[in-house]
Amino acid sequence: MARFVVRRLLAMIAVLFAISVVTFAIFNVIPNSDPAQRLAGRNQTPGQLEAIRRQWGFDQPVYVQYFRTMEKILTGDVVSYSNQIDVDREILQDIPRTFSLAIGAAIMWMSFAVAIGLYTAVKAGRLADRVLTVLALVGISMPVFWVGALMNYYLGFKWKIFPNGGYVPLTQDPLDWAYHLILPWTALSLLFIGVYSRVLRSNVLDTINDDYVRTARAKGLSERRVMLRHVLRNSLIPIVTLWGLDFAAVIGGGAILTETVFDLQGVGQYAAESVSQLDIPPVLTIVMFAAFFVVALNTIVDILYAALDPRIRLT
Amino acid sequence: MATEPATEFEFGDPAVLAAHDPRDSVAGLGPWRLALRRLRRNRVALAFGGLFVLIVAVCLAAPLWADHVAHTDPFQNHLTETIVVDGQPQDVVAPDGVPIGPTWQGRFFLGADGNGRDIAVRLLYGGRTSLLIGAGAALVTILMSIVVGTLAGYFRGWVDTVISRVLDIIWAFPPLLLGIALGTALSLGGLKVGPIEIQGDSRLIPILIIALVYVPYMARPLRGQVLALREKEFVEAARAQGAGPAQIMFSEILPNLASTIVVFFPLMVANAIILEAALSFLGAGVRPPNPSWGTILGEGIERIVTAPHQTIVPGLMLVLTVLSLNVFGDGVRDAFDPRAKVRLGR
Amino acid sequence: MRKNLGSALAIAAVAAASGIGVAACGGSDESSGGDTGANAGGKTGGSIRIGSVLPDSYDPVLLQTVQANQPIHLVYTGLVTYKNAEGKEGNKLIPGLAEAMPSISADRKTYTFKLRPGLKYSDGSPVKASDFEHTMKRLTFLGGPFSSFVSGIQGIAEYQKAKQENADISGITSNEATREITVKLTQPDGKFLFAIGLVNSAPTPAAKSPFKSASPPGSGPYTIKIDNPTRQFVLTKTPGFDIPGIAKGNLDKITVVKETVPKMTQDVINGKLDFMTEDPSGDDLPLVKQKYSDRFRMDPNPPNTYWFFMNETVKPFDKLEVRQAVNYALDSRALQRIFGGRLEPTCNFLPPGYAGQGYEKIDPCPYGDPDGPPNLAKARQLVEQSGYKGMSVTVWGPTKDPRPAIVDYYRDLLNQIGFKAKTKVLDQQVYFGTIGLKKTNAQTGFTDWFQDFPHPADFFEPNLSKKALESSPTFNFQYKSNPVLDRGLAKLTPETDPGTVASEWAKLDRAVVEDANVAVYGNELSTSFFSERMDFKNCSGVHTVYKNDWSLFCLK
Repeated sequence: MARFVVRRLLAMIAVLFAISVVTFAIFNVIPNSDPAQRLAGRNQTPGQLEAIRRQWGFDQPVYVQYFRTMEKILTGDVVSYSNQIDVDREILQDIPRTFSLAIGAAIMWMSFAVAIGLYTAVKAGRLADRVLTVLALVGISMPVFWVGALMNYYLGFKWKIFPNGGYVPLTQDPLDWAYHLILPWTALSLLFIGVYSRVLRSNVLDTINDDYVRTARAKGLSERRVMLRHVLRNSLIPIVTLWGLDFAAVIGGGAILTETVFDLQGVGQYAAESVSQLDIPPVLTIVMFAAFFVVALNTIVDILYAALDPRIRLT
Repeated sequence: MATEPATEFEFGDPAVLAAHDPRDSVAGLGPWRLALRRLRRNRVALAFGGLFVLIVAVCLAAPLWADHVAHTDPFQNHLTETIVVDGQPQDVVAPDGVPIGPTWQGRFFLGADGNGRDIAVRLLYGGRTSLLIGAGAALVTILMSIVVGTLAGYFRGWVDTVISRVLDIIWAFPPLLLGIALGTALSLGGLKVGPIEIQGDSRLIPILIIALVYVPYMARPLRGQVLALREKEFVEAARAQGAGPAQIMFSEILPNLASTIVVFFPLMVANAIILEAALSFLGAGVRPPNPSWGTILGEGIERIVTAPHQTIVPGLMLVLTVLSLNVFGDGVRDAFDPRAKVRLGR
Repeated sequence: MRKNLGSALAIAAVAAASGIGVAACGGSDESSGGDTGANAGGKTGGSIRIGSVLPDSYDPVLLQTVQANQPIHLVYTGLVTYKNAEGKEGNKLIPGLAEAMPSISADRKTYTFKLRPGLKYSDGSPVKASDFEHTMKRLTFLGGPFSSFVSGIQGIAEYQKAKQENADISGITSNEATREITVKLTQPDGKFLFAIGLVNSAPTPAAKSPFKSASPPGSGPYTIKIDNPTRQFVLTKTPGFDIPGIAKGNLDKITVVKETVPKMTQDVINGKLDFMTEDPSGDDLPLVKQKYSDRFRMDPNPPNTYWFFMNETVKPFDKLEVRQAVNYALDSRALQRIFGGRLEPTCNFLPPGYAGQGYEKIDPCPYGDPDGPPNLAKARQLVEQSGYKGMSVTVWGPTKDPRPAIVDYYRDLLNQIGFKAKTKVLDQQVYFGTIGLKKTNAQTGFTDWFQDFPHPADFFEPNLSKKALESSPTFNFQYKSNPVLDRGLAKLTPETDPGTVASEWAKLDRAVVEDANVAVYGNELSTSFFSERMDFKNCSGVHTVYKNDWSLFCLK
């Protein structure tokens, strides 16, 4: 077991390292993207460019620059190219916003998905099931930024039922915080509700006819007990894993579109802006941070599974 | 609960037995014919499949609309022109930059965008681009996944390790961030791999990027399948007959992957279309002035207050397209998967 | 468009016209009594909140954006500085930390400044004569964006080569006893004083100004407290600030917060913010213009020009006829729409903010009235004449809004006059660096220029001169220079007072336009949007160097 864990952790570190190298490489192959020129402004002189390169270390070979940047990221000392502001500080301030979006949306989508998934499984084949299934598919088919933009416009701007985008910190006013997040939560959840309710539905339908369930029924247990204790529990396990991974992905910037449309100024939005400005330090930092989340959660799940199921340790 | 009996082994409910269709238990029909039959009975899926075909046809007919109805092409600017709507002359684009809304006439049927271009024309041409990128990306994904998954699953050992690690790396990247990072970088510098050079504004770039992002999602399940198939008797038999790895992969393993691939395909296209829209919306997909649903939506959302039609209509078209693919894809999956208990059809 | 387009158009047109009208007269209602520069009209006191995208740097030697200049110029004062007055008056240099304008030697290479006695920074430490040289060292060593403006000082090149922080700059001598600072230039340069009037050259205490990004104490009317560099900072009046001629500022406290543009706009509308440094975005702009015209104005400020560059070393723009054709075919009214109405058509290369210092409106414009329809027929004829009809042209442009729309219009235009044009849009960050390389062979595309300081050479030199071609990448995307312009620059730049040779500068402007070296279409209008409690009429602080001088703001 210990060997398995160690192997997994090593793999995790290797993957993170590879991701950082790839990200760095992607930006370094862009032609004419010398960050010194952007910092130098429009009245450049060669002497000035040299001075900037020396200051920032751009005159070093690429791999040295890579290591320096990584060092700065890990020690929290990264400065962005576009506004010379501490990247880590900016990210730390953006994290609560992304977290708020992610957690709220995750709870919302899980609750609705479980409810809808169960309901449609129980009513499988009936009209309610079909209607909800189509609705779920509609949910999957709508680009989240389009839904978000329309919601923001109609419900926020035109009919003024909800605020027109923006974010209020939880510490400032919890009610206002939630009020501002309802639309973003809904927009982000619609997609996941669609996916999860259908996965749950098919899992439930699978297990509902499994042997042990039939045994439970044969034993005389009430239908409700059967559903809750046996069917639901077993259907939920794969869902929970998926949920954990998707949550990690949302935290890591997967909610870029929602944040951009509702202007929440979270980590995802910051990452997208930095990419469009070819600002390597924030992009690298956020990619590392997001990837770390995903990989860490994955590793934990793997380890848990291995702990539960000895066969897996052999792979 | 009137469930459809999908196999012959469902004894639970006498009503079910009574409803059991003898046609389903005819022996001798291959899995493909069976699937096709099930699909044909799924009216909803077929309807949506038809809708998708209709949308494709309409988009392909873009030049007809452009030439004969709108009398413009997707790139022409009409900034300072006026047209007559309901007898009144109106600016195509007002001096303060606000474009005209839907005129429901031949010209500017759905209104104009900020450059005075005809939205309806751009929507149709953009549809061609989005559909092309969607289908192209799906194809490339599938091809790459087959190659990678089969190699990894069949040869195992270090080949598998290397491939799996690479897939892990791609998969751990936040997908949208990977997409915009690559999209931005490649559109600026183009792509040069050995002798092959692709320009930065080629549509091949978004296709390749989307495909790359999705490969792990398909390659891993395929790899799993290949791992399992490898141990089957017919593979053993082929090996015993002296067939080499390439032959085995082509003649024994690939055909068995086919059903998975067919099921995946429509859903892949749907996902690719949505990812292309997201990338173009963020400015990292299709380059201006080429229209795609994503770029049109991006431009529309920017002026959603003064011209909401520019957001609503392209979005609806995209949603309908993706929805029809999803419903049809669902139907295909149900047709192939005998364990599915309920389909949308009956 | 909606049915009430007609009335909306009328209102928008009136609002736009009134905004432009005020700007064109160049002035405000306030009476700038004498040359105190202080605001004579408004109420003092009070505290306001401003929405901004925040400075690109809080360090005066490293900042380069307008959003940085607006707050930071209040914190630091240069040896000379710009008058705190609206309109043309704001172009004037006045003594700052120096007690009078410097004495200039006969050969115009030596400037002698004398510091006022008893000057102190906001932390109480005294202002020393050597602080100026220290600032010049910081500016050069760190490669600040405006370090090129001081590269004409003797010894700077050697200082750069030495790569030592505290190496000496031979051209600057400081005498603490007499409070004199002597600066020697390598050659006469009329731009020099204008350049050091900017906040980037403002002296800061050597002891607290290290050779890395910092926020040292300043000598300005306000002191800055950075609560949160990425979200908020506060300016408060420096107690005891008293330099004659420099506005003390009316407001006691200014809080600047980072917000996104849509939110900023909403907040100014409902009074949560009092001012915003950004322009309301495309969607909000018509609304704001229509409903809040009593606290909203547009000005061509800071002075800027937008034009299309044409590479004269490649086909088809090596032929005069083609360049003329582009000028004939350009329709500024179409581009006005892309700018959401925020464009003032023009054909001059210099922007009108220079009125009196080199700008003379060219009337009639050689290629047609910029406010009127284009002459496509003539343009097509010229293209035919050139023999280049049907040639492929790539139009280059950056990604920043609305530039892609601008180049798309230009592409369409080129197609209409007989070319086969397509666009190539690059990210803002790499755009200028790419087209500025000769090997890119960019035929034509987007470019603009915003004034750094109010001297005509600031516009001509980097964009059109032979000198500019010496650096790579360059900003002279024509890759050629008009000999009339080069001769003019050589003759006029050494003049220390550009006003005396204003009409000569105007002639250069005319030469460049007539020779179709550029295809100018307009000056962008920036906005000033205030909350209700601000005194819009008297204190909008529109300034040619800072865009808005916050020391002129006041409450009703």
